[in-house]
Amino acid sequence: MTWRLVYASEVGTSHAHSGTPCEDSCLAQVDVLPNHQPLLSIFVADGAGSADRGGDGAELAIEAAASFVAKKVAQGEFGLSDSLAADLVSAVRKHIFSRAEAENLAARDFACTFLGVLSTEGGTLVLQVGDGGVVLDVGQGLEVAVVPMTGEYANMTHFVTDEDAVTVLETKQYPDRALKVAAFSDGVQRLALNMATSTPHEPFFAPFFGGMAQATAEQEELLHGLLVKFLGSSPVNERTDDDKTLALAVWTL
Amino acid sequence: MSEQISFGTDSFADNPEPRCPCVLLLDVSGSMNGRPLDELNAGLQTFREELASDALAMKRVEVGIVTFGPVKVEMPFTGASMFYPPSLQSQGDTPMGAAITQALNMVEDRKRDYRANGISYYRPWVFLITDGAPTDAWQTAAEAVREGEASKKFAFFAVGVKGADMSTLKQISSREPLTLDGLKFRELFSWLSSSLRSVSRSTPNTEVPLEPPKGWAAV
Repeated sequence: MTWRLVYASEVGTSHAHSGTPCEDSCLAQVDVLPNHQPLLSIFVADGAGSADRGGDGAELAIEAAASFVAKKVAQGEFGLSDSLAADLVSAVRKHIFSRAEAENLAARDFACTFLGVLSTEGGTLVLQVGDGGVVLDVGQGLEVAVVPMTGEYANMTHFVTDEDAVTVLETKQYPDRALKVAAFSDGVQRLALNMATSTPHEPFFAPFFGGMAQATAEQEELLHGLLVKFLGSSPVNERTDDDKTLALAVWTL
Repeated sequence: MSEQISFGTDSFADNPEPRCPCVLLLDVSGSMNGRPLDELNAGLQTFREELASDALAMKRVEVGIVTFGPVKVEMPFTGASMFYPPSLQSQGDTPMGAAITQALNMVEDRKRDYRANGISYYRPWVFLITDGAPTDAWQTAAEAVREGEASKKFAFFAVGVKGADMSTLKQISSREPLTLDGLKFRELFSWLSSSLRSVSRSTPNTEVPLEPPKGWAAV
């Protein structure tokens, strides 16, 4: 028993238009802990369009998060707590700041949002700095973990490179394993959430979770291609011209 | 043989588009009579046409018009797709202070409406165009403009047409007021629509760099 994973980032039409690459990055993986239980990690980072190296910042954030998890797994036991979330965000910041310093740039040149989900049999931790979101089911149906973080204006948010990133960091803990998880960047947010009520738009998610649960072993290989195709499809591009990331996990028997 | 797999959705959350509100604060005092007002009216038509050429701007930009004097809400906030510019007639004096206060109140009311309806929005723009000097007390309005700019409640732009009291405009607007080159209202509105188009498609934390006011501002 483990999680089945599919994830992809696709360039937005406005970026494709101006020749800029996709500035979203993401990762989903399952590690096996020393007690033989699986650990799910999902991370999404969205590079700021206003930052010269936002896309690199997003990649660095994912890189740092992956190595943070690898260290924790090697170390063995750890709790999915707020302080772990703060340590993770600090590790991401450290990695970005040291790259910025090495290149004689400011950290804000690498500005990006960062959100993540960690889940084991003993619980689930969601952490988020900036916009984008996490929808999950820990046994009570789909819910939005953290209300999407925006400032007063539609074009404002928080970045992991901001001075106050650890303070604005929002976390949510659940005592149970996550059975379904979707993490996404803000390019997908307005398509997948009812923004006025901060609730998931269930019909958006149902075909993904359903398809993943039902896919045979041979079909599982097709899922990534189908997700990429979906993220680049015209119904999606008619609704957003931003980069799009969707990372999905389903607990399967 | 397993069933064909479908993976993707055709059902999307029906969220309202974020809005990008802009108030035009237009001087229609007696001195604007004749060609200046004709050119201003023609400029408004250009504004409409250029917004209409952009599908996203049509959905997101909202225009309101306040004229002075007397102070009158010529058009409450209207979506670009429903925006048909009125033909402005020249009238009385130049109560610029009261007009600014009216425009700023409209902006705050609009934001309240957006919030009440779960609509996200961009920073509102207030765009003042005048050829004169205020004939009323403008100091309170100027203070409100400066306070609002500092706290990013809105962005306030002032454009002086020939004859405008630029030194008073400087005291009202935190941004350097610009002088219209001749009667190039069409070029001015073309620039404004293109700037609003950039704002209305900007993504988080892109501080939209404004295009230089080329083709209409006198140096």
